[in-house]
Amino acid sequence: MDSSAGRNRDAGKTGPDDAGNAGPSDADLVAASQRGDQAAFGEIVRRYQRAVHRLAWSLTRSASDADDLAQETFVRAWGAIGRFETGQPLYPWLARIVTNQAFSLFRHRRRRPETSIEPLVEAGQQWGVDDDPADHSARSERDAQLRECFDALAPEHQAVLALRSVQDLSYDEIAKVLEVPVGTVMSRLSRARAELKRRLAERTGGAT
Amino acid sequence: MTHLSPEQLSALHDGALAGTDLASAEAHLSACEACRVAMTELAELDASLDAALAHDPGDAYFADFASRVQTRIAAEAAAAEVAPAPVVRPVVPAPRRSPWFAPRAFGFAGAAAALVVTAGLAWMLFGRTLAPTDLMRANEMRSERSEPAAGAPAESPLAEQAVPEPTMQSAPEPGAQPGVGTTPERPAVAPFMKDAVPVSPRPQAARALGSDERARATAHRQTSTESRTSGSVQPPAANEAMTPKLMSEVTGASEPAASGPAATATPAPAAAASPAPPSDARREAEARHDAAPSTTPRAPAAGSAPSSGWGKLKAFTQPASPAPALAGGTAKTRALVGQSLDLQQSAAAIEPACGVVRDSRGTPLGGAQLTLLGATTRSARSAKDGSFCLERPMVGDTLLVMRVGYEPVRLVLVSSSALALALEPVGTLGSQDGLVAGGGETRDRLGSALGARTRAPQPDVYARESVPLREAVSAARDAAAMAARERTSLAWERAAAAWRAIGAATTDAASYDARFREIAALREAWLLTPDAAHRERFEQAAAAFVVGTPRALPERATVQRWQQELRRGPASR
Repeated sequence: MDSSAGRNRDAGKTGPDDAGNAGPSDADLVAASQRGDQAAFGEIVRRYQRAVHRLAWSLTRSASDADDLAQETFVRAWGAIGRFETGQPLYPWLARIVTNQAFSLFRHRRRRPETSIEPLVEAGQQWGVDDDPADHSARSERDAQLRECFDALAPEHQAVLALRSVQDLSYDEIAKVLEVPVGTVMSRLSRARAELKRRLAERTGGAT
Repeated sequence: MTHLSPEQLSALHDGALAGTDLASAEAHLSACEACRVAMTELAELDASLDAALAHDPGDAYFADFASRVQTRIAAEAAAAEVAPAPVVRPVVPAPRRSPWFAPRAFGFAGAAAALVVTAGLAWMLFGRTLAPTDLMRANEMRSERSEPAAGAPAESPLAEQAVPEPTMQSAPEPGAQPGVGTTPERPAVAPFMKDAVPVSPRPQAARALGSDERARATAHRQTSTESRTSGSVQPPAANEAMTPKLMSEVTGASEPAASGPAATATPAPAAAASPAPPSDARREAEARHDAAPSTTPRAPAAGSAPSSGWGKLKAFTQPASPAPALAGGTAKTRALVGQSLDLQQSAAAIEPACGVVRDSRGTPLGGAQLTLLGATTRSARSAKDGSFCLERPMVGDTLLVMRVGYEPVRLVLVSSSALALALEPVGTLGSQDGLVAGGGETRDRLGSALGARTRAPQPDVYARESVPLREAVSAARDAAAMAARERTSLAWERAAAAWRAIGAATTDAASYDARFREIAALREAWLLTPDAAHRERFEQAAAAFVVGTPRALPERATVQRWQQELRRGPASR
């Protein structure tokens, strides 16, 4: 069911175009989708589902939120595919939908208090069968701290960090996603990193 | 020497500098130890952030992702179609399956079959052949009616929910593997997208399901399941008219629905629930009238299936409105609905509604007060065995079910439906329990038909816990639900870990509950991958649980049973 093209894309960190794909190009799929070809859109979904989910997850850190957000992203994409500018890269457009939704979610929901044991739970959830529990616990503690600090950042900072560090998008692409100038991406990213570093240092008593 | 600014460092790290900016930054970096250190820290932070934030739910999750999206799109389209009341399309196309659909979807037929087995009818509006107060006969009839549904995939809209829920609930029980075994082959259906109108997709069986799905999804974010791709239809009441805690089930008795009054009356509830009946209800009505419904139960013809499923679905997706029905909508709709109601009235006049009230675990509940509000008010009280009968139920009447200790249920009657009501105990976190006592992946959705059947009518053990912990419980339930869907030992391990964290953070009843769920999850993992490592984890957790819990705890006995099973090996279950 998953095409190899989709798999390649899926597996990629960023999700956007990888030109070497077999199968139809994004542009072809978009054009077909705009003509109402649901199968083509289905292919787009499969091609970008992992990237979209990955972004959704990094912005929500919740299985149900990420699932909902990822699905909703494609639902909205389908609804708006007719307005998509052919020739533009597809993934930043999808990522914009994800981040806009995430922002909306941020606005409508108080973030979890810092005492949340969610990180613990999530750490537990990431425990794989083959993992060494001891190694895992140390790593997961670091990750949990980082996640909590990340949680505390402004949504815009979270988004720009997720797009850059998790999604590996270029500044240009991030600018497209967030609909801001590249210069803003640069400064925002810098501030976000500084803020994250500061919070992490605070939390760990300077021992990052 | 001026150090690189954080912005420059950041951009340099990201490879976003070019030209002279890049050259000068690199030149500085080569000469400045402090900036190199800062750069390294930046890179480390970046890498650890990636590790901390990245998450891959696994192939199983993505296997049916596209189909879930498609289902949702269908739901959106359905919702969108409601408002503008587009041109009526009298004939609903045959069910076709989109190429999006992943193969993991349950078949409708299987769903229906599972429904018959597991859904335990609680409440029915029967056909006119039913003698008043004849519960025995009622049960027979339910069986009879359900059977054709097994062969008629799209005819059992409800079944979809019946499949996953009971199977998941029973998952922890020996011999009860989730789903697949009870699910016959999916009907061969043509891909529906070839000629589908893309922007405003046509109503189809799959889409109908989607609407319901969407309603649920909107009501409560949830991890989705493959089961969603099967048909599911709830009555208007299920989605709109009920209180959130209510768990009711409506068996989509579309096949008996065709037997005259019932079928034609189907749109009525929709109208009742909304001042502006959906176009699809109209369409449905038209389709039924056009098709000259026979007076015998409809054959499980695939072609006729979607109309009922879709129509009902549409009804359910309507916003509830206290304003009844017939006043709203176009003249055409009114006429159709009126016609339907007339038929229904003649039928309803001689039909009782008998059934059983149960708790969400499926235990019959006596002493429930049932009130039927309509042209006249009728009331009844369920007997010790939960049974009751109400006279002259009418489509569009509102049924109130109340019992001490349970969330009240309010729903608008749908004709020709076999309804199963389950009362949810007051004060639970919701019906998202992952397994065992919680009963599979029971999504906390408005009017969700299938509740956590096996959930004990007991107070929520986490009620006194902090909000973060309750959130963690919710997450653990999600994890378990996901595991039940994915059916991988890894997913169950994750669920177990989530419950373990909760078990460690709680005491007493909450701790017992969480630990029990952890063990149940470990057991599932072991059953799926019966190797030494899984066995050991399961074994150890079970042993610790048995040692550390009160003898009277019911879960303890269950775990002890599992221990015996463990000694015999997974194959013996």
